[in-house]
Amino acid sequence: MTPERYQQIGKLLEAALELEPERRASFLDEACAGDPELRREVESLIVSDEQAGSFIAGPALEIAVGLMEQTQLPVARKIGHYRILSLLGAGGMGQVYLAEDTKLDRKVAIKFLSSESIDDSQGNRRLIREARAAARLDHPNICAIHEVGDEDDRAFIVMQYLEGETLAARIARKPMEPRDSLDVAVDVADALSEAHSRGIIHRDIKPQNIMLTARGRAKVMDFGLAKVVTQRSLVESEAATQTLLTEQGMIIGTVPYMSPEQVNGEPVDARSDIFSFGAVLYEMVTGEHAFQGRSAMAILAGVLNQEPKALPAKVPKELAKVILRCLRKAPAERYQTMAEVRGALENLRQESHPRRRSSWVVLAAMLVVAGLLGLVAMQPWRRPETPEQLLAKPLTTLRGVARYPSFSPDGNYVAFTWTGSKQDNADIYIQQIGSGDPLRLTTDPGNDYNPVWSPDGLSIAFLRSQAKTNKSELRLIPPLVGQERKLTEIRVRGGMNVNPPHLTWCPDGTCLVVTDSPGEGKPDALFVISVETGERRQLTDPQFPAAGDSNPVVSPDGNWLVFRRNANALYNGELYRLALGPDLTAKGEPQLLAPAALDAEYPTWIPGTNEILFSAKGSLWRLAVPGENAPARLPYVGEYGLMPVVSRPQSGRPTRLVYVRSFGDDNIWRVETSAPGAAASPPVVSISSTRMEGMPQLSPDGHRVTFWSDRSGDWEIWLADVDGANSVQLTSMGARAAGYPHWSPDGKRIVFHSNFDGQWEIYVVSAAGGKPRNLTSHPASDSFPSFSRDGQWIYFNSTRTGEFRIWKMPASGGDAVQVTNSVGFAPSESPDGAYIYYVETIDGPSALWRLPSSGGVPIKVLDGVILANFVVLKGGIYYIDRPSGDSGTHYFDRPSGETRLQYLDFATGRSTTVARDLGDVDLPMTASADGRTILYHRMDSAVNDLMLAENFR
Amino acid sequence: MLTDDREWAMTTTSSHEITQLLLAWNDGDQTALDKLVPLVYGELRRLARRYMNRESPGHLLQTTALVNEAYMRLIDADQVKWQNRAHFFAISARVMRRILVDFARRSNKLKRGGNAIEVSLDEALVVSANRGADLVAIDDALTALAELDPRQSQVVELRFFGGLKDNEIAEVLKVSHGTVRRDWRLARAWLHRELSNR
Repeated sequence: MTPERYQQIGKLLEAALELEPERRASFLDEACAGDPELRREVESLIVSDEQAGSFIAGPALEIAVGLMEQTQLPVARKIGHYRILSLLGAGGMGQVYLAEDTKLDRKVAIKFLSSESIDDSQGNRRLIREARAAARLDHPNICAIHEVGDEDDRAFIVMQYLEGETLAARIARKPMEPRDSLDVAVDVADALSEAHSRGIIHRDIKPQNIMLTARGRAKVMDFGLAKVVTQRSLVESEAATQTLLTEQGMIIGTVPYMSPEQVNGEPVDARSDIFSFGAVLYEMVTGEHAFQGRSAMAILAGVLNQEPKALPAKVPKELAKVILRCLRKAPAERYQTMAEVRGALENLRQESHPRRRSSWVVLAAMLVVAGLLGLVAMQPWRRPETPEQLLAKPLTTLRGVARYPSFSPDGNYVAFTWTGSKQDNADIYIQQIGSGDPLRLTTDPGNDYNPVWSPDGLSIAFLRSQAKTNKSELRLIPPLVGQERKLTEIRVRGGMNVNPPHLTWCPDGTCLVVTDSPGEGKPDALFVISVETGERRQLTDPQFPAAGDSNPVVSPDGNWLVFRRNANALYNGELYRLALGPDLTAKGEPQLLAPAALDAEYPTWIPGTNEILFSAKGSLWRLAVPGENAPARLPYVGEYGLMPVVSRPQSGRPTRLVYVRSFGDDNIWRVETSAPGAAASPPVVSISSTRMEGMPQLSPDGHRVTFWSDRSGDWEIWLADVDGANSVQLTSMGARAAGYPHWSPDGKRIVFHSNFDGQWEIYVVSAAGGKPRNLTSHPASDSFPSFSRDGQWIYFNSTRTGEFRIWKMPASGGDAVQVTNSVGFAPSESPDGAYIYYVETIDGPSALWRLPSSGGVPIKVLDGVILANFVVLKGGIYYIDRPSGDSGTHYFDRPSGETRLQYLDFATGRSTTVARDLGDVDLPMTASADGRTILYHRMDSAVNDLMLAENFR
Repeated sequence: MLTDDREWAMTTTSSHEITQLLLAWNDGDQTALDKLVPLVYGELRRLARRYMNRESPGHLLQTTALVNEAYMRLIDADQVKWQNRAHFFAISARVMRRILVDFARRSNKLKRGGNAIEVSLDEALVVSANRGADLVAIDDALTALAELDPRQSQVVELRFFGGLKDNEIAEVLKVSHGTVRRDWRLARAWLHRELSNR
């Protein structure tokens, strides 16, 4: 074709395209008369034009990115039985992806080694050999390697997926207290000592290779990989170090942790790891590198020739000694084995953590001391200038549940939720500060909660939840006169107790941020909802195993969102911060705010500052966002502080703080009867104090009761006689939640669950005392344990597959086996061991199910069990139900109907009522083997006062 | 996990430096191209990584913004004197074409080497509706088009490889906006036919 011909074709094509399609044929008939070839050309180009669609519509760069994904980034692909989900990180050594193990239904991390980082054609094979050796390491402080393989000549390693942060990130955030450093150091030393005993040297110990999990445990990664990675990668990382040095005056890279023998290229042994470990420990306690320099060469010179910079005086002398001995130049002068290092550190740790000592007698004796130490440990979190001692006084003293305070913009009124004088359902009320009774704003029979005053003060947004559904309405009401209106409907799939939805206003008052479900099978997320149109836009994107996001709060300048991400379990979650761009769009990924074990909730912004207040462990804490400091506890709010709010600063008027002081008195009640199912006398108090007692379990011989109590200030496991005498505190976990104790059939051990580590796990403790042993470590939530009748197994429920299912594991711990394929809670075996009984929910009345222990199909036994209150005896089942009245789905939504103790007789298949008016029961009940003594957990009173402190600063 | 500091360093290289390299290359300095390649690759990797983090097809909209941002980082016309602007756009589009096609050629070789991992069609579609297009074939066809209509070929080069908008192309070629649009439509129809007939 010639340019002239092309021009001719082009002109006709252009003209034809201008015409209506039906007129083109006649146009071409005329224009191409006598030149059928020309006509064919133009016609085919018209077709092409129609088909072109998105052809080269996007820029070439985008296609190139697609190619890069195909060749380098196998996302959304399957490798064996792993489905790649997303890229976690990438670097000189390769890429790490988050993937799903479709066989075992768990998340894993897959590391692909980039082909350039393997030094020769033998590289892959060597890598695989090394990684296989490392894969044999099975230790709680070593990131487990599940599988090693290669796919199309690319080696990959499938590892345990750990959520948390690297030690490097942790150190960068804030220097570590010697005490915390010791916890991490002992874990790492433990891991290295195990590896060394199997002849595996790490060779690249550095803070980037140490993960701190959400449970506060250190895990060492990448064993043996350094050996395989080429010299070239190392050189490159040095070059990078130098680049960064010149550009930023910062040091990044492996260089600062290399041992002198590594620098010299000499053969290395375990003592090289000891040196690197010393360098890491040095950095943990000082926040600085042991050897510093303006260039990689200068650092290396320091490693070879200079003594590390003197440790600051705050580092305990003994610890400094250990560090310096690890950092000796000559391997022969260092500790010779990691076990020695570990021993030295463990001794130091014992001294700094008296509560970890193993004898339970000592533990019990030191309880008070430990409580004091808990306070001492908080001291570094305190700000240097102690805030003025404020006094908080009650703002409301209403019976029932009063919660969710929110200030009017002028700080003179507080909107809140109250269950009302009849205690039937929650409505929105307004209390004027300094005068009179609260004013009732809503009257709907649904539960109205979480009122939040709009920034202009003209509207109050709140949630209305209906019983027995996961749906809530987001509504708006004017604070004084006017009609309320429904803005939109939201729902939560995580469960109203696990992930209650919450809301907040955008700073400009045009939108709200609220919890809602992004879709089936996904954790609940936060959405931005337009007040004008009700349109919604997803703002956060939580992933399994999170249950969802709630408690949103936006900084007044609109630059930050702080929210709580709930774990898939009761009472467990953490605060995150998310940087916001214009119009409340997410900038980057959310970052963990408060330390993991804090279980922080209800953040609120302190107007006019860059700080938030939140409640955790019964106290109120303040924290700068963004910021480097740890949270500081408000000294004048003791136990039971919840849901803080601070008024906006007003000229000439003090800033006010309002929070909820919330506590309850739960007790263990008893019902006695002459025979299983026979009518009983009215319930009487059995084990009681001014604080909480609940979750009773009678020992197999019927003489002792194990139960849960906060008498010590924390939720711990206790033992007592049936009448409450001879009580003994069995655990001192210091957690806000250890509970659900169950006896082994021989009465020697007690299994229970705790979120001691920031995550629900199963523990077992001797009934004679001693240190509880942790049986599970899966990142999912493991809870509600009970022994099988032969004592060989422990049943429990777990979210390992995403939802609660029944699992079992050997009583001594070990691999767990899934028992049910449907939702199940609170499993318990029948006395003959033939069946497993469980409920399907603890949120409302539940069916009780029965499954043969040997496997098979579950059968529904009865309906209406509340809060897992059932006990299976030889001849029948005791259970508690509520024949009438609404069942609550919310903690403030206490159900009103009467509760009854029922007995289902296997012989007749009929249920009879054994006792009435059990009161406000909680979970679970217990009965003696003869069926004559029944104990249950009853909530006797609860206080929820709004407290006011003036002059808050 | 791993961090790639090298890549970070690259992407923060000032676009001023890139401008200098582009101009040097235009003056016949071949080493300038060698220095440009890793910068473009770094940008590709950065983009690819950000693409990865996208979860739902709804985020496809965002990719356009990402790509525009990438062009801005690589080719910041504000750095160039006003008189140079058109010239500079032409050079940068030419360089991008060369680097991206070269990259595609090498990726294809890799794929023929059996490195490709099965990916279902649907997944590929979600990632990019554009992905099927073959950069090497487009490059070849564009070279052929230059023989027939150099201006149309240049319009495609500026828009597709250089990421320029129609009004910028009009400025570079000193023609009207309407001419750019016409050229683009005809050239696209022709290229599409050439590629589907192969």
